[in-house]
Amino acid sequence: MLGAVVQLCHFGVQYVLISRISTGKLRMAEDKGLQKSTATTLVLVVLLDGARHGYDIAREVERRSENRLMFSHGTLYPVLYALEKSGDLESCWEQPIGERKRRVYALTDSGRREAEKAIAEWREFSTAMSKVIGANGHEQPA
Amino acid sequence: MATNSLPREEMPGPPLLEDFDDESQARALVEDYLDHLAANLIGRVASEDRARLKDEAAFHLERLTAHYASQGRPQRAAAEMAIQQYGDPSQIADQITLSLYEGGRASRLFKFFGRANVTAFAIVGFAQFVYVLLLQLRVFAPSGAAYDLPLDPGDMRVLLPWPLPLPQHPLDFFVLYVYPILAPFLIGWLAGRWIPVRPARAVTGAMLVAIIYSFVVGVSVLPQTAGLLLAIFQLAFWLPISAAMAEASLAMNLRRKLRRSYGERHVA
Repeated sequence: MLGAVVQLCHFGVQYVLISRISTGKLRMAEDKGLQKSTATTLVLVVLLDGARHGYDIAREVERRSENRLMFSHGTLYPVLYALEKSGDLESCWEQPIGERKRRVYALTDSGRREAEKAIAEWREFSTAMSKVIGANGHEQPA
Repeated sequence: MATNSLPREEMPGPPLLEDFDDESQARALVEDYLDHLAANLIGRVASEDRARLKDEAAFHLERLTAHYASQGRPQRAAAEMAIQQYGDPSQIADQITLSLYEGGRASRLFKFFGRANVTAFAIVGFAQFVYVLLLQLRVFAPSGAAYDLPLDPGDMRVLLPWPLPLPQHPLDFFVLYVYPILAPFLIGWLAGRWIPVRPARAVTGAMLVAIIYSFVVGVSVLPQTAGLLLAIFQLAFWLPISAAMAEASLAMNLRRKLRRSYGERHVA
C-alpha cells in the first residue's frame, strides 16, 4: 500500500518536473530574440495585410510597435519556417529585375484562421490584464 | 625580383580588410557572416535548405545595410550594425535547426514537452526500465532461479567462445558491472544521433527525472540502501557520462554527415 502511494506521488513529481523541463529547455527566445508564441502572433497578424518577405515583416513589426519591439531579425526566420512547416504559411521566390531574389511569405487559409484566433486571444488577455491592473488602482490618469 | 627569393619577413602577407574600399569591406563582412551561418547548419539541415537560408539572410542583410547606410553611415559601419541587428549566427542556426526539427503538425505529446525532451526521455526511460528490472531480478531471485538457461555451461561455451565472460561469470556480473557502466554511453550515443540541437541539455533533463524515479522506486521496491546507491550512482556516473557522450555523438554525427555530403558532391 505504502509502495503504491509512493509511486503515485512519484508520478506526480515526474509530471511537474517534465512540465518545468519542457517550458525551460526548448524556448526559442534568447537575449534579444522574440518569444516563440509572441513572434508567431506578430508574424501571422502582419501577414494578414498581404504577402511580405522577412525583412519587410521585421520592419513592419518595428513600425507598428513604434520601435518598442526591437529584436534580432534573424530570430524571425525560425518562426517563419516553423509556420510554413505546419501549413499556416506558404512561400515562393521573387526576383525583380536587377535586384537580389527574396523569399515572400503569405498566409494560407489555416494561417488566416490561426491569425484571427491569435488576435482574439490577445485581445481577451489584454482586457483581462487591464481589468486587473485597473482594479488595483493603478490606472493612468485621464 | 622573384617572390620566393624574398626573406620571410618581407614576404607579402594576405590582404587585410582595411586594404579594400568601404563597399568591399562591407561585402566581405556580410559574406563572412553568411559563411558562419551556413557552417553552423552543415550536417543539421539539408543543403537545399541551407542554400535557401543563406539567400534569405543575404537579402535581409543587404536591406539592413542599405537602411543604416541611408542614415549617413559608411558602408562598413552600416554592415556591422546590420550584422549585429540580425543576431548571433550560431544562435540563429540552433533556432532554425530546432524549428525544422520541432515544427510541423506534431503530436500533442511533442508539442507539449518538445520533441527533443520526449526523445531523450524515451531513451533514458527505457535504459532505466531495463536496469530497475535487472536489479529486481537480482534482488528477488538471488539464487539465480530466474536465470536458468536451456544449455549447460559446456554447450554455452561452444556457442560463446572465450574471451566472452559467459558462462564463467553469472548474469549478476552484467547486472552489477557491464550494463550500468555501458548504459550511459549508449544513452548518450543514441541521443546525439537523434537530437540535432543541444542533446546534452535534453539528456540532462531526462536523467534528473530518472534519478528521482530511481530514488523513489528504488527505496520502495528494492532494499533501501540499494535504492539510494542506485540514485547516487546515476547522479555521479550516468548523468555526466550520458551528457558528454551525447555532445560527442552529435559532433561525430555532424562530421560524418559533412564528409558524406562533401563526398556525394565531389564524386568524379
